[in-house]
Parts: sequence; C-alpha cells; structure tokens
Amino acid sequence: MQYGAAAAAAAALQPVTLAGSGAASAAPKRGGTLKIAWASSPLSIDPAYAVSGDEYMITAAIYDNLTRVDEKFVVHPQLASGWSSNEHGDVWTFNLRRGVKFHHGRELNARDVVFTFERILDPKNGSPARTSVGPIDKIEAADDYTVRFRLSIPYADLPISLGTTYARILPADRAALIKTAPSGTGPFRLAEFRPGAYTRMVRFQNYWDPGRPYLDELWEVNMPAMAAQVAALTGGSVHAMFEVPASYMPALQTSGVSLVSVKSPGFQPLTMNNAEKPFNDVRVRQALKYLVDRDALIKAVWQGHASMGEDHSVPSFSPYYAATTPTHTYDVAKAKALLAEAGYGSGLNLELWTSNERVGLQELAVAYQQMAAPAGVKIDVKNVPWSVHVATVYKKKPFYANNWFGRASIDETLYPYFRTGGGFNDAYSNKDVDTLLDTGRATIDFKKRKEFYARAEQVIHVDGPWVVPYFTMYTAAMRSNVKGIAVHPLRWWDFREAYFEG
Amino acid sequence: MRSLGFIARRLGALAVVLAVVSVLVFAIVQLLPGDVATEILGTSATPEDLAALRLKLGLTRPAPVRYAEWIGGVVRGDWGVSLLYQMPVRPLVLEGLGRSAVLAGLALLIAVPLSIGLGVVAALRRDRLLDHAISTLTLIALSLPEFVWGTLLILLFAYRFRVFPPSSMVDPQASLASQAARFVLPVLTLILALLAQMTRMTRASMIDALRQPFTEAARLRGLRPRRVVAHALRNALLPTVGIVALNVGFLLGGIVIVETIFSYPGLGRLLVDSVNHRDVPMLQMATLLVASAYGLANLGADIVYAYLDPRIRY
Repeated sequence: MQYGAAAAAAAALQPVTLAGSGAASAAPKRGGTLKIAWASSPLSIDPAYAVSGDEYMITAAIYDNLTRVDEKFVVHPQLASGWSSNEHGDVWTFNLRRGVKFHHGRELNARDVVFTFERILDPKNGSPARTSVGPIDKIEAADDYTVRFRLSIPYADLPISLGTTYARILPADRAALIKTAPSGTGPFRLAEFRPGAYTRMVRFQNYWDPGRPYLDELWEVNMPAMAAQVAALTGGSVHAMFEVPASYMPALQTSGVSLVSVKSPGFQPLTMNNAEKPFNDVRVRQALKYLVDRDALIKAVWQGHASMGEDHSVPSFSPYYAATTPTHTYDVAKAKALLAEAGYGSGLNLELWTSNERVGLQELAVAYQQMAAPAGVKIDVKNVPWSVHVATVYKKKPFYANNWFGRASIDETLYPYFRTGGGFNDAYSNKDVDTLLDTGRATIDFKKRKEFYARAEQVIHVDGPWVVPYFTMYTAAMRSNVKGIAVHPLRWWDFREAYFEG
Repeated sequence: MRSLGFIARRLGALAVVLAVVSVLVFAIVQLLPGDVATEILGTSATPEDLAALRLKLGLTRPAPVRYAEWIGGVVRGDWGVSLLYQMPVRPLVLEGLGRSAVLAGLALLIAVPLSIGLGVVAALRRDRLLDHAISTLTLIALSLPEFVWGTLLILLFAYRFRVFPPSSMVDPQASLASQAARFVLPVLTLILALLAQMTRMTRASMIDALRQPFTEAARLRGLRPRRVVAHALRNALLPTVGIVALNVGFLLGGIVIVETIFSYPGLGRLLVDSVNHRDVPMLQMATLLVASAYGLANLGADIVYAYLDPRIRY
C-alpha cells in the first residue's frame, strides 16, 4: 500500500470531506502579530511531556510532525512526503522531505526522527507518550531520508499517531536544550517563554513550506479571568480566545468578533469501577445508565452546546460510529426494576466524586444526583480541586465524574479505556471487547475495521463501565479579520496558514 | 547605636522566622495529595511513567534529605531549579516580586495619603454629612470583594467603555503611555480594598487625639487650627502606620486575586501556580520573599513609630 502527497488520507479513515487546511481562497497577506488568550499557562514546552492545549499550541508552532491530522481527522504529509506499510501492517516506511532546516540551521535527516521516538520510548524518561504513540517496537534509519517503524503488532492507525502532539520531531544534536532553548523545523521560533505571563514566537525565515507562515509574530498570552479575555478580544488587544464557555458567548456576539463552534470528541463520563460492589453487577450499571436525562443535561449544563452520548467514547461524527440499541432514555421504572433484580430494591447509597475545576463536571454530578434520586439511588456528591482529583480520585475511587478531550484515532478512542489493562481503564475486562479492539487495530481495510468497532461500541454500550451522557462542543472566538485557522475538534491550534485580512 | 542593635536583633529574629516558615511550607506540601509528577503527567500517566519521572526529578529520596539539600543551596545563594519549568527559580521569583512591588507600591502611594486625608476630614467633620459620606463610601468599597470590583471595573471601563485595557500583561513592545494605562484598573481595585481600613483607623485615632489634653492645651495657647490639627495628626498616625505595614505584606503575597483578574504575572500568581502544581523550590522561595516583606515592613513600622513618638526608644 502506498500513500503519498496526492492521496493524503491514510487507509482506514473516512473519505476526504474537505481538502486543504482551511485557508481561505483570497491570497493571504504577510505580516502582523497575532495574540491568543488562554486561561491556563503552559507548564512544559517539551513535546514528550506536553499534556495541555496551550502546550500543544506552542509545540505545534515550533515543531513539525511526520504527518498532520486535520480538523476532519484526515492525515496529510508534513515532514514525511509519503509512507507505506507492508501487507501485514506491522512495518511502516516513511520518506522524509528534503532540504528541511531546523531553527539552528542544520538540515533534518532520518537520525532526528529515530532520536525523537527512541527518546519517547525510553522508559527512563517517563514520558506519557510512551504508551500512546503506537505499538512501536523499533525504529531505524534506512538511509538519510527514510525511516522504518517496526511494530510489535499490526497497527493501522500509525500515520494518525505520528501526527499527534507527542510526536513532534526533535533535533538529535540538542537533547539537553529541548526544555530551555528548543529548536524545531516548525514555522515559528521560540523568542520568549515566560510562565504565567506569555510565550512569544517569531516567524522562522527558512521554513520549508514556501511563503509560510504569514504572521511575523505569534503570542500565547495567559489571561486567567474570562471577563478580561472577553474585554481584550472585543477591544482588539488580543485576536483569539482559546475557549469560550457557553455563558460568555452572548458577550462576544458583537461586530468584529467571530465565534466558531465545532463538535468535539471530548466527553465527561461517570466512571464506575466494575471490580467493586455494586458496580460489578451489570444490572446496576445499566440502571445507572437509564437514570440520566441526557437532553436535560445538554440544555442545563451546556446550554445546548453538546451532543448525545451513548455510554461509550465514540462520537456520532466519527467514521467508526454506529448506532447502538437499546437507547438509554431516562426511565426511572426500568432502572428501579433492574436495581431490584440486582438485589438493591430497597435503594442504593453511592459517593460520586467530581471537581469544580473543569467546566461542567460539578454541574453534571449535582444534576445526576437529582435525576437518580427518584429511583432510590441516593448520591453523595464529593467535590475536590482538579489536582486532588488527578492524584486521589482518578482510577482510585469506584464512582467519579471525569473529563476527557478525546483522541484522534479510533484505536486511541477505545483501546486505552476499555481493553483489559488499557492505560486509562479502571478495571473493565470483557473478552469480546478485547478481541474486537485487538482485531480492529490490526485491520487495515476500513470497511472490515468499522464492523469490528461497531460491534465493540454495542457491547460497551450495554455492558461497559461508563455513563457517557454527552460529547462536548468546542467553541473558540477570533477577531473577524483573522483568517486561515481551522478550529480543530481536538483543540489543536495551527498557525501555519493564519493571516490578517485587509 | 542602641537602635542599630535593635535592628540587628530584629533581623536575626526574622531569619529564625523564615527558617521556621520554610520548614512548615515544605512539610505541608508533603501532606497534600499528589506531587509535581502527577501534575506534569496528568490523567494519562501510567504508574511506570510516574515512577520514572519521580526518579528523574529526585522525588524518590526522603523528604528531610530533599529539604536539607534545598536549604543548603539557599544558604549558599543557590535558589534551586523549578521542578515544573526546569528553569532557575531566582529570576522567576525576583521578576514576580518586582512586578508585584510596582503594583503594590502604586496602590500604597495613592491609598495611604488619600485615606489619611479622608480620615482627618471625617474626624474634623465628625457626625456631619461629609463624615457620613466618607464612611459610607469607604465601607461600600470594602464590602465588595476584590474579584467583584475587578470584574466590574473590567466590564465597565474595558468592555462597555474602552477607556483602559483589561489586562496588565507586560508587553515589551507597547509604549510607556499604554503601559501606564494598564495599571489604572488593578491599582484602582487595590485602592478600593485598602481605603476603608486606613481611613477608619485614622478617623478614630484622630478623634481621640483631638480630645486629648495636649490638643486642648495647644488650642488654648492660641495655635492656628491648622497647626493644632498637625499636632493631633502626628499622634493619631501611630495605629495607621501599623496597618500600612501589614498591608505591605498583604499586597506582596495576597494580591493574587487582583493579579489573576488582570492577568498580571506577579508574585501572588507565582505562589498560587506553584502550590497548585506542587513546585516546591519555587513555592519555598516565593513564600520566603513574602514572609521577608512582612518582617521588613513591620521593622520599618517600628522605626517610623520611634520617629513619630519620641517617647518610643528601642
């Protein structure tokens, strides 16, 4: 199988619905300084440790990946000019673009790619990327411009994995400087990194893609208060807002500002540990799934800015989505019957852990508490700060609300959460699901693959350990004269094509 | 010479206080759930990744050993490296301290004379309309918390009427005039918070001083009213000086809310971030700076007391 620049979309992906990267048709103008406001401040500008949106934005500007995953989850070449896999799908060969320069002047070659992935895969480095860049067994430089990935199992999603945030290509000759004085092949050079204040990046003159980027400077500005962000955007002192909570949308419906909403694969599950009582009984899990009024939650918690969830992690716009049965509508009688069958006819007392530091999470828990009460399920909501949630609730408490932003590939969307022993899996283990997910990730043919995943979704829908009431939407705002930015469902910001109009 | 000895003794005591503070902060962070490794890696971390990162950051050694290493470094002038940013702590906290000092200094520079003036006027016009107006207005200023004032000021002066910028983000490219404009709203918010306490204290002690026999004597000796007021004020200022000193400490460490609302990267923000992310070296130095500011401001207040009241000698 051979994929190149012309046929950019990798196998096992949906057909290309939108070509190009979202750049407008008019000839873009050079120049200008674009500032984007973020409520948070980046912690790490080392791609192997970057775990939040502000960090992704900075590393996407400084570095390139081998591939680029666009806002429709279609894969395009970036530093790789093309790629192919063997019949079995466990050996992948990537050809590198020639004449690509790092910011410090040296030309990119295959050894840099090998260095990047060996650094991620070295357990001594403790990078969270180690378990999520794909089942890479060994990576080798066949020659200066060819790299070969040898996988431990056949893996169809490798081209997508290589386009994700961890897999930015680093220079092999500056290992000690990655955290403090980074050099990449990306469109912007790092000029200043001031934690808690701003990060300033300037145009890289020798970027390999001719003419790009269009901007002279790119600033990530830390503005914790939403009111300040809104005033700064409407006043024009910043040009984009990373994320707009629903309650601030009316204030931004004003001339000179554009609000952009996209459906995201992000979701907020109520996670049950099914190794522990009472969640070890599938009837209890099902009862709790019938006790969510999903429409009401979407309206009350998200002011309509969310779409229906079906108690698994695949959103309806995914090419691998398939409708599941039966529909889990709000049904107190059915839930009561299921609970009685499971031996909890006299009622059930549960502790539900949540955090007020993620938008919607606390509201979800409190609303669910009300919805579950009529069925005799008494819920005690425990609210903690997010850092405490990460340290003591996540994977430790038997019942908690959680916040996920979603992933690019179908394998990463299901496998880590529901496969026995998966990285983000509390205790769920189902032989059918395991077989389906193992077969799915190794199947190159899209149609066959989709069938495996559809079956996995159905099993998880009925049997799985999660209540997934909804998928969130992602809304950003920009000055209306900012063009060439495609708002990405994964909240990835790419400024390669960005420019100011007029 | 005796006062120099006093200052030396006070500085020695401050050093002891700082040492105790550093032990307390270090111990408390150990008790918090989570550490910098869980913060860096987030929810996607596997236990093996966490273990490897902890080893890399030196978090696996016993807490007393880590503390001893840190305090040894500080004594030698090495302030350590931020666990989070992998950057030296010293420039980060000094930069934050400098920024907070500018914001706090501007606020004090306006709020102190203003509130003393208001307090004196209120005392002289005691129980008259002006007195009631001053105490009502300063009380309103105090009653709303800073985050409400800050947000209100932004909505009014930056969103509805675009008079002042909403953010105090330090911008090396901006002109001096626009830099100055950035300070208006945060400084105003701080002044509103400071005003009531100092005004009321000045008013109360001024009323008290005006009743004292020495004021009466001055008046009977035929001093002009202005001189009488000055006479009383010098005596009335003592409690206000104490409050100003406390406010210096509050302003340097406690203006977190104002710094957050106005995106001002000062020491308060640094403190909150380093607590949230369990960045112990950064937290320690930021705390020590704030504690030093409290200590030095109180020492300064004692010196000013001695100047204002010749009876006080140390």
